[in-house]
Amino acid sequence: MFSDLELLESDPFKGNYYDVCIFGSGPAGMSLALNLPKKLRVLLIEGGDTEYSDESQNLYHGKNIGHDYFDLSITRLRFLGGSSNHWGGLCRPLDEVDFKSKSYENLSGWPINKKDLDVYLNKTKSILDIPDEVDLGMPDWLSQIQDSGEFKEVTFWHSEPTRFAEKYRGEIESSKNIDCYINANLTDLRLDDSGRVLNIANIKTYSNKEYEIRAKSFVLAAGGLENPRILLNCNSQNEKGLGNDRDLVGRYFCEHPHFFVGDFVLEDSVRDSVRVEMQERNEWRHFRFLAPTEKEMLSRNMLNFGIRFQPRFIESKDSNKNFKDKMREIICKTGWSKEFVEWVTDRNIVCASDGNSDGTLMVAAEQSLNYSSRVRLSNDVDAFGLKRIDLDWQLTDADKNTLKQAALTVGEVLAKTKVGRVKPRQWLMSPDSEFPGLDTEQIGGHHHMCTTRMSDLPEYGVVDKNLKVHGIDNLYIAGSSSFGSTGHVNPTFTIVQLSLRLAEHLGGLMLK
Amino acid sequence: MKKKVNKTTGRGASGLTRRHFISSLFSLSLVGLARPLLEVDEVYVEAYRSEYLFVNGWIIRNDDYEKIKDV
Repeated sequence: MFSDLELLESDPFKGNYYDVCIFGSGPAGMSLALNLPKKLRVLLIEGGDTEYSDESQNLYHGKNIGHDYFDLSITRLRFLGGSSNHWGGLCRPLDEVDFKSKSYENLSGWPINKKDLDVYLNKTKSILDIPDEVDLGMPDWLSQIQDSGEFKEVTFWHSEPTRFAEKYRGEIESSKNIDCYINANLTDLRLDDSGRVLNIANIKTYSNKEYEIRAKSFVLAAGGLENPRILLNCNSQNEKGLGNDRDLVGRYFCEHPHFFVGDFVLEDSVRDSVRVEMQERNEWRHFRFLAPTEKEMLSRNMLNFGIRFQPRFIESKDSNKNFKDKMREIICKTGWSKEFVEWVTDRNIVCASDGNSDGTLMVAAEQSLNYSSRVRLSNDVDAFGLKRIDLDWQLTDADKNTLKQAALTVGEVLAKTKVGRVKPRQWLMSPDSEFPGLDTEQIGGHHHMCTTRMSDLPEYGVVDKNLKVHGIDNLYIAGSSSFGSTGHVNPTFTIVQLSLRLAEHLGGLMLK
Repeated sequence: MKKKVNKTTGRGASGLTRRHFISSLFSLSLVGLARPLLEVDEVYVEAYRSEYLFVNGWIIRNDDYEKIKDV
């Protein structure tokens, strides 16, 4: 059943008692709803409409008060299907090493391991429409690098991408066990007298019609920035908010730091090989990434990363490039007067490479867990009177080390194998240099993680290994906010795997 | 510590231009140098790890550098 709460005259929740109530219809929430046992009565609540609306999206406004970051109202989407509506489609499961504890990384390690999620691998591939893998072959230069032992090639999978509302709305509409309501905004979650059991969720429409929902279990699946905002705003019974007795909700905010870390040149034969390969298959899904072997990662005290050779000598067909990126590419490539363009536009134009190289090295890295990197409530309020967020994203020396070691390791391997040469960026090599921002060397991301991180110990995490909030018996949190740490890969695949695991867990609990 | 090992903008005794000198760091031969990789006035060498150096910021193996530094 699928319905617009704004259009209903009677209270559809009166007298209804659901088994599971899910807030958020993105990849996390929708995967969970559709894969819970059909015997369970499921309520799926979406705050937005079926299409984008300013009224809904406005609720995502917030301030960046830390490291340079994207506008918080465009880095996610608030309508049916959630951020799958602008997902790029690149994905891959986490590596085994991502789940392990590392001596040099505080709090590292998940309370589950890769095998716990691998059982949902094929199902997740099916949900995300991952096509059969393309065999790119292994050119000689790449074999040389791999044989050297520091790196392995990693292949990203590429969904078309799956738009969850488009693909799964029909299934929800015809479902006998799922009731889905749009334009239904969660405004409060309230505990019973025991203080351990949630029993009521308060909902409002944009026309301020109010409702109460009752369910055995509740799941927040609203995204890595919104999940903590909801918990912190639910402070009608406890001023710290829900699940926040230890002041951990919103902390450990992680992104995947994406930076240009160096320039490279290739030996002539390698350059020709790369040119031929990329002219034949010039699609970003076929770009080759390297990731460090576990041995190399541990020996250099670095976190995981993926590194990509981004050649200057091949025209990118990346349709996601905006006008500014295209202008920058033309200015840098053709040698237009940078000074003149900067004078006319009153902006700094920073070229990705130094003009003498074959291209740039781009790294997407795992971020170090940092207590001070956080989402917190601001004093501004939204249309429902709920506090908006301030995002204080903090990068540390550990993050700089990972990026620096990435550039150095590739440089050493290319020099050793005589495949090419690398010149690391100066800001990485200078201990006092700060991280560059979005106008210069920083790109990509839009991955919001770890703000309700998973840990078996309530001292170090908000949810346990089954995604249940510590100290509350029936509140669960799905999505990337519950990642224990981030690895380097795009999060959507892991988000769906975790939701399938949660579906099995809740089904087992409720049907036993 | 950075060590400036040379400074010239013209042709040296070998008849090679400065950019050819630097190019040879990468190709490790004097064949096929039509592609200028760097054009610099000064060459800086900086110690890095036991087997590697930075030459004008580029990571080079020590033994490769030994082969071409006197060009």
